[in-house]
Amino acid sequence: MLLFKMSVFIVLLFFLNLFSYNILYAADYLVGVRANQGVEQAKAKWQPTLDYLTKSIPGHSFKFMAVALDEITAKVSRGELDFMLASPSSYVEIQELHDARALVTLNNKRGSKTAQTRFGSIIFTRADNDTILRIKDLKGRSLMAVAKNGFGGWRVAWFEMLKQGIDPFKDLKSVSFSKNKIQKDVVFSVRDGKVDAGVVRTDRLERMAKKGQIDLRYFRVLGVKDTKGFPFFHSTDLYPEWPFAATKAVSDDLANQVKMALMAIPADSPAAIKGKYVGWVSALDYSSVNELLKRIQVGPYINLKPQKNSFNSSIAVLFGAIVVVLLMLFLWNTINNNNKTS
Amino acid sequence: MKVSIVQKISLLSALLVALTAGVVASVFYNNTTEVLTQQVLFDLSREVLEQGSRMKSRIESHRKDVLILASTPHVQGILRAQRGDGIDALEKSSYKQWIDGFNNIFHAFMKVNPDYQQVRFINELGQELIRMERRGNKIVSIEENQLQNKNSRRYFKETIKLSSGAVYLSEINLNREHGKIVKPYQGSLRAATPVFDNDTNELGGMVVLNLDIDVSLKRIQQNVKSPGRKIYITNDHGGYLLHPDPDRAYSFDLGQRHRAQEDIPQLSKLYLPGNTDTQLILLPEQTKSRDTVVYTKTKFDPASPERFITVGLTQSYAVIVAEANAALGATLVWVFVLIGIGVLMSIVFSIRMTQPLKKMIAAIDDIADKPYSDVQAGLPMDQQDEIGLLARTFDTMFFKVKQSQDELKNINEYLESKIEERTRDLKISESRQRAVLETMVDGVLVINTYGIIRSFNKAAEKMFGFAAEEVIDKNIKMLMPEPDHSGHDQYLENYKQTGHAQIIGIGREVVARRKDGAEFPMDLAVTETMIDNEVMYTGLVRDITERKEMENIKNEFISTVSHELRTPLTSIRGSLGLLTGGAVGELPEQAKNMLNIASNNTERLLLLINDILDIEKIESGQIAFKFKPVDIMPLIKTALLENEAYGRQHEIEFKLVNVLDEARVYVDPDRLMQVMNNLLSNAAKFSPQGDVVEISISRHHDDILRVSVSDHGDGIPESFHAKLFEKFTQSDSSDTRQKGGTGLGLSISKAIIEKHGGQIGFLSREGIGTTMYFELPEVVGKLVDDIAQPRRVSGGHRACILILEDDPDVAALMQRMLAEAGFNSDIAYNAAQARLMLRNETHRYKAITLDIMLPDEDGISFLKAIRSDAATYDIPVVVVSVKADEAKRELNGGAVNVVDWLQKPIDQARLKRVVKQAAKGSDRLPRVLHVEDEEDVHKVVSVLLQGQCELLWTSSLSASREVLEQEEIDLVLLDIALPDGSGLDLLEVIEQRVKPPRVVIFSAYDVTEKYANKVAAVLIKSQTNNQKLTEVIGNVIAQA
Repeated sequence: MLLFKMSVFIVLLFFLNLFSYNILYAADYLVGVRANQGVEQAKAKWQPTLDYLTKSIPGHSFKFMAVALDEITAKVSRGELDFMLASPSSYVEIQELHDARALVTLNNKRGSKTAQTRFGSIIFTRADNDTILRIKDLKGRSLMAVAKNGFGGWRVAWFEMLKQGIDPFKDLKSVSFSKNKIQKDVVFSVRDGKVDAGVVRTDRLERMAKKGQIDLRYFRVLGVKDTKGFPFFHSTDLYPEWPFAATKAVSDDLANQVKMALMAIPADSPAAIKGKYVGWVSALDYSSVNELLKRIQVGPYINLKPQKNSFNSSIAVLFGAIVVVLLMLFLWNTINNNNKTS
Repeated sequence: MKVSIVQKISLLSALLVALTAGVVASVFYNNTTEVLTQQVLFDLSREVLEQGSRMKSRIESHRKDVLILASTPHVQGILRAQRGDGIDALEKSSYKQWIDGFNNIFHAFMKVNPDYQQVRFINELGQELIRMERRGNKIVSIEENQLQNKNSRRYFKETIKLSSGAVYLSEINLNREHGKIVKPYQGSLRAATPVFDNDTNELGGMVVLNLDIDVSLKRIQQNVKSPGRKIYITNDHGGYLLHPDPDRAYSFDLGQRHRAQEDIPQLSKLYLPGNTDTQLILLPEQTKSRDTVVYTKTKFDPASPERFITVGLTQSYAVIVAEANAALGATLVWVFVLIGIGVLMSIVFSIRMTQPLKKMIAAIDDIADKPYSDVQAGLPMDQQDEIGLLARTFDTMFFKVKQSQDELKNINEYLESKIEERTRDLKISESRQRAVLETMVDGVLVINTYGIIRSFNKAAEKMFGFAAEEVIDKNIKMLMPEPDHSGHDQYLENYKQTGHAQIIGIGREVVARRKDGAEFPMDLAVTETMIDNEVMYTGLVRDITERKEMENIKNEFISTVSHELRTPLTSIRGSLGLLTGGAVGELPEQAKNMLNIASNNTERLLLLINDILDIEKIESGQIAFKFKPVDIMPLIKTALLENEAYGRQHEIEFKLVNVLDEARVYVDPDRLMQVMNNLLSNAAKFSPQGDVVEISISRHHDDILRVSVSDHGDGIPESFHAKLFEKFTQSDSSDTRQKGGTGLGLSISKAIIEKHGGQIGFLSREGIGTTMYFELPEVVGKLVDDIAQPRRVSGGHRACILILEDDPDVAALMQRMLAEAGFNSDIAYNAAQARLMLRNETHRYKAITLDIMLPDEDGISFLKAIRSDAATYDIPVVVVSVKADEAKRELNGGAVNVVDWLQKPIDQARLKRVVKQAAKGSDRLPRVLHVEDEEDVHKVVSVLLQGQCELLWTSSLSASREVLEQEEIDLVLLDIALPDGSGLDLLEVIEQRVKPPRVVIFSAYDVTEKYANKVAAVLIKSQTNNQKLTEVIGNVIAQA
């Protein structure tokens, strides 16, 4: 009898355990959101989207967690986050290191008329600067960008400079960053002549002009590109907007549910309005971001050695040596022949 | 590469033509393009201004038109009618009539001016009253019900601020309807002017005229038709109004970003607010697209002078230089033609020039085989230019050459015959020499200074097993085993540099290697010779394998004999000694005499054997000399003292007639003593009775010391002088029996002195006497050995003394004194340290020397303290102190068991003696282990040592080992030759004992220095008499 009671108790305990497990662990999901303009602002902007997710996927609760740029990777590696919303370079880093996957890409509202799923950088100078006419002219000049780890605010421009044959950290007089990681600082520093050139995210100049903070006539954008459907000045290639990504802890099933829910958000929903976006599109291809990070050797590729180059150079040395040897053989042969004939 | 003159000249002329033409063409081309660019620039500047003013005048007339429209009477009519409730009292017309009339004027106006898009009359509240607009080709008046209120529009707000006659000009942008851009896009400029009621002077509304500016822009674009030329018009922000790519025009209004500043970066300055520049000119090299660019600002609104549009013209460089390129192409064609002509001409010229040269070459070719006349005929000597001159000069030269050639031929023939003769002689001589060399018994090798073998004769081939051709031109080290094999190159190098020879010029025994790898000893003599200006070393080698074997056999024989003879003799002698010494009681006189005879002859036999062995050993270098620097005088004096008894026996007196103080020599004192003994005993033996033998020491040649011993005997016969130092010789062989001696003494002396680097000699005259002398080099200054620190004896072998002394110098001095006495010692500088050492090393110290004045404690209290400690109470103490006497008085003697009280400064002898006494320790009889396989010898020894010690005896290695491991032994008397091994192996066992016994080797064999250092004494059987044996053992036991 006692035995029976005991076993019932144990079975009960077991079920209780399962139940509580479901309540405690299956329902709460932490979404790490990169807060680059302050936690309050980030929460105000994204909480409605998370609320929307919580509402549309019953039994699951999506919690906001503000994360700084430099702690995303650490948090993901400790398994503290389930989803994350961060810049493409942050995403690529955790994708490479921790198998995260992008579900959707933000269709960002830009200005009153357009929405963009891509962005890049502007490299610009003062209009009256007669010496910096092209990106290559930045050699020996001072440059200011938004933040060392910023994507649109620096890395994209960095990559562009490398592509044009300038290594900013070697060829430029100086590279500085905004103390508070504010784009406006960069624009004003260029305007006020504190630095020769600046780097900001695309559409930033136009937005400031529209607000009356600057007059575009005072600036010249370097190396302007022309991309169909993209109405803003850009000095670089364009890269996909911020992704909403799932870490590997998230099941495919749930990931798919989240993806569908986000893609279904209409432009006039509170989530979209607060989040200043038009909607979400199926995740774009982030391999271009990957390539970029690889080339500038940051994030997951921080210690990547440019192996290809060294290989090439060793082949060049070998080839050179062979040529020299052949030349010497030829000379020797010629001299010998001459000696014989004479 | 062979290049003929013809080729050279044609190549050179081609190059010259190409270079000239190239330079001319490039200068021409550059100048042309520059002129063309300037021309284009001028053109562009002019045209830009022209197009700019065209735009300006169009806008100007636009302004005027709106003013004209505003001043038509209808405007005032409408205003009056409005004021008069629809009736114009002045003109008697209704409001409707005025409106219709104005409508008609608008209609007519638009019909005449096809680029006006819209004209409106708007009342002061912003309500459109009339609106006429162009739709396609039709001009339409908008129905009243569709008229709109425009009071929120910027142009309305701006215009109502203006005064009469002023015109508002809007921005140039796309036409909008209800705020939205209308498609198809149409650029428009609105001009508006306010109208005022002439009677009331109140604002009555405004006339707004929309200009389709695209019409003017298109016209301007059509005007610019030159190829490669493009026109751009922008607003004052850089946004395009006109662009060859229609998508870019008005893009600023359509949300796209296209600005002139970004397309031509230098332009941005022009657009800067406040910039007063009116024109920007860029040359092709300044732009990315290599265009020539001219942009000009044109102000168009007198009301606001800061407003402007820019007109820009570009001309592509390719078009500018197209003409110049064509000209360049033509020039290049001419260049090639010129090159062709130049090459052709140069070929013709150079062939003409080289033809006579070729003729000359043909004539000179094979000059030796041709008669002179043929050569002469071939030379173009009649030519009157440089070539003719060359031919004539050559003719003269050739004549002279022929002459001298004949002379040379004669000389050559003579020389050849001479050489043949000499060669024959040389061959004969060489073969003679070779025969000698080849038939020689000794091997002959010649090497150069690098060790490369140059010659190798038959005997050498046989000796080394190599054929000559196998070794010639190879390094001689192939014939040497290690270490010479690797060292030989260095030897040669050293010799070359320092002249320090290992073998060259000296000759010695070396080990060589045969082809099969076998090593063999050989005699090698090397001489240095100069052959053909090259230094060569000739080596004469002889295989001495057989000789060596013989020597080895001899040595082995002698060693065996000595052992086999010595061992029984030791027993005989010992027994005889004991017998004659009365060990077995008093013997009958007869027996005593017989025993004396036996004893004397045993001694003689031993002497003989020892001498033979000595000389063999000295000669073969087996004996190890223990050289050290010593003062010679004390040595000599000791020798005299030792031989005094012998002298007395022969009734001879030894007298030192000449002394040299402070003369030092580097010798083995024992060996030198042997020489002295020999010389003195010889002198004594051969002197008449009662004679005086004079000994003198002198110095000559500054550093040679001579010791001479002179007697006044019969002298040495002349005939015997040469044989004096040979073995077994005495001048009168009958003397051997008469005078005693083995006849080996002088041989040994000679061998010893020569080992010392000195020489021995004599002067003798029959009937007068003999002076024997030896000479040794004097030692000047200090030698290293002299200042060497006392050797630190490895711990455990001897009693260890603890020196307690606070003055480090005194402590070191004492340590040294004690080391000389054979004691190892530790130093403690204060009482605490001493205590620590005593505690840690219990029972180790056999005695303590104690200073009374210590830094940390009074010596007396320390003394009392150690006496009260059970572990240390019995350690003997020697007080060494300046206060020794006072302390002694204070303590009143023996209370603390002090062995002796020494006063500083320390008396060395006394210290040693006292410490020895103190360290002796226990009272029990010492235990001696005698390791000896000969029972007879043991018996003799046991009788000798009777009562002095407890004697144990083992006769084999294994038994000895066992005893040593089990028993506590104080001394081991060790024989080396044991039936089951060498007694020396026991030394290892002995050293491993906790308290290793001391060792005295007592053997028929000599012991090498390596072992001699490890043991307390080495005694050689048969050289050691009973008395010496007991003495040594007694001493060693006392020390143990």
